[in-house]
This record gives sequence, C-alpha cells and structure tokens, in this order.
Amino acid sequence: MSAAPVPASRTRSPGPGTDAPLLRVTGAVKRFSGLTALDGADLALAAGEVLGLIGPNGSGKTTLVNCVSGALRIDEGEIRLGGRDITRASRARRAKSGIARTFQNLKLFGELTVRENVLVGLNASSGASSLEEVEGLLRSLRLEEVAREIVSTLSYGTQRRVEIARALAGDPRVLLLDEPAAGLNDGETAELKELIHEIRSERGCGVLVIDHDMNLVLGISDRVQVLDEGKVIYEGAPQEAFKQPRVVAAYLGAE
Amino acid sequence: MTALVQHVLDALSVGSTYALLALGLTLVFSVMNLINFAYGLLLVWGGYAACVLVDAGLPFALVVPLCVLFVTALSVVMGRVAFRPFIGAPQITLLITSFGVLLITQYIAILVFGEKPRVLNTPDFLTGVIAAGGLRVPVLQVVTIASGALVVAAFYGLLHRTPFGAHLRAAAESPETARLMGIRPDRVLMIAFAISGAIAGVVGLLWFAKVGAVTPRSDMEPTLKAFIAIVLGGLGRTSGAMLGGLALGGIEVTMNVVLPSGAITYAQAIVFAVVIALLVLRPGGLSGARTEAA
Repeated sequence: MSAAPVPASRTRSPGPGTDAPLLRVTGAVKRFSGLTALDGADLALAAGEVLGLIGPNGSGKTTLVNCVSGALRIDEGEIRLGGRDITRASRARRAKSGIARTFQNLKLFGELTVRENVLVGLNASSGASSLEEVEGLLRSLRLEEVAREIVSTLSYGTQRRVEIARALAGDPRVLLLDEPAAGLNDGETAELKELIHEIRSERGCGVLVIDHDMNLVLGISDRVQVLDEGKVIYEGAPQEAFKQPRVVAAYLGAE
Repeated sequence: MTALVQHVLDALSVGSTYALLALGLTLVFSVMNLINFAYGLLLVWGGYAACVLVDAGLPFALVVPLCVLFVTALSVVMGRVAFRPFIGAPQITLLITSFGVLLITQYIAILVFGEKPRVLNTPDFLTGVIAAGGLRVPVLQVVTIASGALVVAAFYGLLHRTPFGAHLRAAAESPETARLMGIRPDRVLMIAFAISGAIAGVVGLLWFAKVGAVTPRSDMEPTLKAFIAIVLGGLGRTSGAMLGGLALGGIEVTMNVVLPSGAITYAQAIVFAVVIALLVLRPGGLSGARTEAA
C-alpha cells in the first residue's frame, strides 16, 4: 500500500518482565461437548512480531483466536498479556487491555458509516487514539473517500479494510487477524501484505495472522506455528514449516 | 383551501405527538428488543407531576423542565430495577416484566391520586388560538408541532453526530460485536432509558395539556398509539417510528374528515383496519426493510 504510513502507536511502558512475550498462552484446552478443539496448545507472541497460525481445517486456529479475544473461555491453561493473567477476563476487559481482532466472517456494523465503525473501535481500548488519529487511520487505509458511506454498501475488500481500521483504532497491543485475505483478489491481498508490514513496523504491535493463503502467511510472518487437532506440531521459521514431515502429513491427511 | 391547511396542521400535530411517543418506545426496543408496555405510565406520572407542581403554584416555565427531569429519572429507575437484570432474556420474559411494571406503577398511581381524573390547569396562553388569514390555529398545536420537530432534530443529532449515537446504533445492530468493541450494552441501555424518559416527559405534557386531565389509566391510549406507530413504521427503526407516527396521525385526521358523521364512532376501528391493510401490503412496515426483525 503506497498511501501514508499507519500512525505510530504511542509509546507504552513495558509491562512486567520486558523479555517475556507480549502474549503468552500456555497449555490451552478447549472442549466442545466431547470434541477437543484445543488440546494443550501454546502460543507466544512478541511485540512487533508477525506470527502466522496455520493448520488444516478444524485444527483449532479460530478456536485459539476466540479464546485469546475472550469470545470463548479455555477449560484449562493460562493466557497472559504483558505478564498479566487474563485467562478469566471478559471480552470487554481484554479489548480495553489491548487485544483487537478481525473476524473470519466480517462483523462490521453494517448500518453505520465507515467513520462510525472506526469510532466505535476507538472505544475498545483505554489507550484509545484521538480523533485525529482516526482520520489518519482512514487516510492510511485509503478509506478517506468512503468515510461517510454506510458500510453495508461497500465492496468486500473495502469492508475488510474497514474492519482492520476499526481494530487499529483502539491502538491495540495485540492484533488478531482471522483470515484477513478471505474473499480478497490478488491485488487486494498484496495491499494487505504491505499493510500488515506497516502495522508491525510502525505501530509495534504483535500481529497474529490466520489464513488459508499460504503465500500470504509464509510471506509476512516472522515465525509460524502449525496446529493440528488442537496441538502445536511445529513452531519456527516459515520457510522450514513445510519441510517437516508432521506438517506435510497433517495437511495431506486433511485432504 | 383553508380547510385543507387546517387538516394538514391537525394531522401534523397529532402525527408529531405519535411520532414522539413511537420514538421513545422504539429507542429502548432497538437496544433490548423490549416493547415496554409500561411506557404510557411514564406519561401518566409526568402528567400527575405537572398537576401537582401547577397546583402548588409553580410557574409553568419551571413545571416543564421539572416534569421532564422527573420522568427521565423515573424511566432510568424503571430500566435499572426492572429491565437491566433481564438483558439477553427471552422476549416473553421482558414482556411479562413490562406488564408487571405497568400494573405496579398503575396501582401506585391509583393509591396516591385515586381513580378520578385530575385536571391539569395549563396557562392561558396554551389554550389560545392564533387567527391568521381565515385559519384558526390553536397555540397548543403550534407548540406540539414545534416540540416534535425540535425533539426529532435533537434526537437525530444525538444518534448520528455523537460517539454515543454510534455506540447506541452499534449495540442495537449487534450487541455481541459491540461488547467485543468494549461497549457495555447495559450502560447504553440506561442511557436509552434516560432519553426515552425525556421524550416521554415532553410528550406527556403535550398529551395531557390537550386532554386536560390525568387518570391512572390514561396510559392505554398513548402506549397503543406508540405501538401501532412503530409497527406501522417498521419495528426497530427510529426513522420508521417517526414515519409511522406521522402516518398514523394522518390516517386518523383523514378518517375524521372523510367519514360520514354517523361513522365517526367507528373511526378508531376503521383506522386500525387501514393500518392492518397497510401491513398486509407492506409486512415490514412503511420503512420497508428488516421484515425479519418483526
């Protein structure tokens, strides 16, 4: 994306234990009446890092994101943000402490304008951006021209950008992107890649990306983590992931 | 021609009263899916408050804001005590709760004020008539239309020009996503009750200034009219509620004009028949969309 840079996040005082990862999930277990969606999954995300979360369908990626955002509660394990235990915190509480997300199926307020959607996002975090920053965000995500449009009238690709803008408005420390490239064309996906890079480098927040587009995930991630049947089966460099027999087997097995 | 203008003014005045009633009722509905059948009691209590204050010798200019404040506070208390604990509860629970609140507040009114009508003495200027070019326009009619326009403008500004308005519409559209955004639906609900109460305070004064007296059972007609207006306009939409209110006022006044004098007794029944016919033609209400919300 060639537009203006994403406004930088304000400086934050480092939390307790600065070398500790920003977000750490330890031994997460989540069961849905008999089905174990997460089976002791771990996750660590540092500030300024892009972590790709991949795995076959039904491997627990979205469940893990839902557990981090607070849409679901884990049955066992622990979630810490900046050293603070948020395992039992409400969704609103987590949003306030700096976790923002986008959704696999867009969850925008369709009857509100683009600017209003972003303004609502502003509410989400206690370290919320100022109104000028909202305008800056709209500019950098090329949403200025449609700022007064009702969201449901816009194209899918634009709505994706609105959702990211809304998530960024709360000035999050952790940004969870659940299939951000779903429904986007190649050009839009390329723009998204650049946007994620900008968010990481200029706002310094930790970004967790789930997507089926391997080119996107492997291309933008500093590190990837592969989930299979609710367990982490690989964690490390993106290029190495598909050299692992377990990872290949998980994907082939799922075909 | 003069007669037509007179009818249009009548329709506008009745219509803006209904539009305000509908606005107050639909606001809480949009946030909580609650049709608050105790809504008319807010008007009744506002009416009684006005009677008491006027009889105590307070100037009307002071009675108006005090009444609006009183009804706003009452609405917030009602929302906090009776409805907030039931956020997310099935609609039938909310419905039964609202009937419970209706009965309790009505019987308190009966205990305090008795069943007999209590006269609301409005200042002389309100009962006056402005004569201009063959037209004879009651002052109260002008005040009603002006208040309607003012409240609607303020309401629109609040809903579409302030962050709170965006929060409220977000919470109304999707409470779950709003919660993810850190919006607290319970807080939004309380503010919705406050605004709804303020509107009820204004419209209650207009209503009883016109009717002239308050009884504990005066709530039925305004609640019913508000309910019809929001169904007619399209449930859950504020613009629909206003449209429905104006349309209902228009239909009523038209019926009073066109019906032969022998049929005037049945005017209300015929009005309802027209409303039903309109809903058969447009099940989603006049504002169209959201048929599924009904």
